[in-house]
Amino acid sequence: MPALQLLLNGASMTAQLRNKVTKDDLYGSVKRVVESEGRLLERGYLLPDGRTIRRTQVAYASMDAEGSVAEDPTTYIGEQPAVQIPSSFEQDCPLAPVPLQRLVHFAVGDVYALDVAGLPAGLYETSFNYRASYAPREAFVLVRGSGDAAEAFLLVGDTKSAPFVGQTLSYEFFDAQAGAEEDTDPLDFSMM
Amino acid sequence: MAMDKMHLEFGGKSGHVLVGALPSVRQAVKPVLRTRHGSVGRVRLVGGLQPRVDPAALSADELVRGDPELDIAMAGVTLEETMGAYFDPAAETPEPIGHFQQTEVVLDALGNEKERRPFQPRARNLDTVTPIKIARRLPLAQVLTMFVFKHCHQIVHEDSLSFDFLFNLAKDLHAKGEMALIGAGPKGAQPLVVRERGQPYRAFLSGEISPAGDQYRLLMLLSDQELKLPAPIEVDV
Repeated sequence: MPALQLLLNGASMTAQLRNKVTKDDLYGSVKRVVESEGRLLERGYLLPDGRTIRRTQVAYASMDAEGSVAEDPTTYIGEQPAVQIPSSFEQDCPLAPVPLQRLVHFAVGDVYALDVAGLPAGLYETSFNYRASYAPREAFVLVRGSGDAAEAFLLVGDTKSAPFVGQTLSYEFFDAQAGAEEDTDPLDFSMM
Repeated sequence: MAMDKMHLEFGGKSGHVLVGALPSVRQAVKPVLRTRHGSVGRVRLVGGLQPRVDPAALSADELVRGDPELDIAMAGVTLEETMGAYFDPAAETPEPIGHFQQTEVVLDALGNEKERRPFQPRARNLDTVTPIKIARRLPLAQVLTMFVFKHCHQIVHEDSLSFDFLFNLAKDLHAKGEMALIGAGPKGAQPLVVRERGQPYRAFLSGEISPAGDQYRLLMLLSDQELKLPAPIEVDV
């Protein structure tokens, strides 16, 4: 298990990052298969000339504006050469206690279980970089319970902009990119 | 601007309101690659391996005699206009097949098959004749530590009537420190499908009133996962 070095109020503590916890791990999953006359079909690509190719045949290459394979390209953010930030496993992760309400605007992408001792129950803001990258992701460490019953999770995602609205409303704050059973238990999360 | 209608019930009244996904607070960082010849783009092309040959299964003699694992004729062909197609991977000359059945295979958490059923795309159910209802209320702190919220949508009014409607709902949730579990169907027990052919989610409303008391924030949080660890795997001894 990789270890994170958490820093809270000057005190350092080691947290073991356990596996990512997904919906599939808890409830199972649904896989869609496509069949014709009893044969299992595969999804691939149809080319303009009528040929088909399998997904495994598709490759990607980095090419420059002249159509040549780019050798040793440099990464930029804006006009400045980009600098990679080390993985969270290779540097300290400062924690800042924050109110639990911060989770209301936080869309969680990944959940990891954490083994950490000595961290009081609450919500702590941090950032997380599984691998070195140009932009660490926003993250929270959530500790609930205490003593032997304490559980800690690392929630990785991004905070959403949610303004208050009054009588006069501007709709521009919405994200332009975003595009049963009768008597089921509303707290049934398997929803298979 | 992506906003959709939602038919919502609260306090014995129902009304049509607007709902939309929210942008991130942080601007996305977009790294670009450059060489001295300019920007570098990612190009999709055909790789050079024969799809029906497993290179690891070839003998040394076969590799010395020729290049059976390579598809020289297709290698490097750029793929600009393609369509998705289904075909029989075992066919000598794979051709697109138009008549097929889609089946969903339901697997348990250990990957064992539980059920097979015909695939039925889900329809969006936020704006049907039956309004979205509050199924139950739970303390805010309990909800935020029990569930994983994957998406955050904001609900806003369309006119002064719906302003009052939503303001009062947000005020009620704020005053009581609660979140409301909402759902579709006559009893509000069905999960919400926010987009056509989308995934089902359990949804909670969070309400807040501005410090000045004249504005509201009503958010719909979507979850398909409880915040918990998987059950330990039982091993028969």
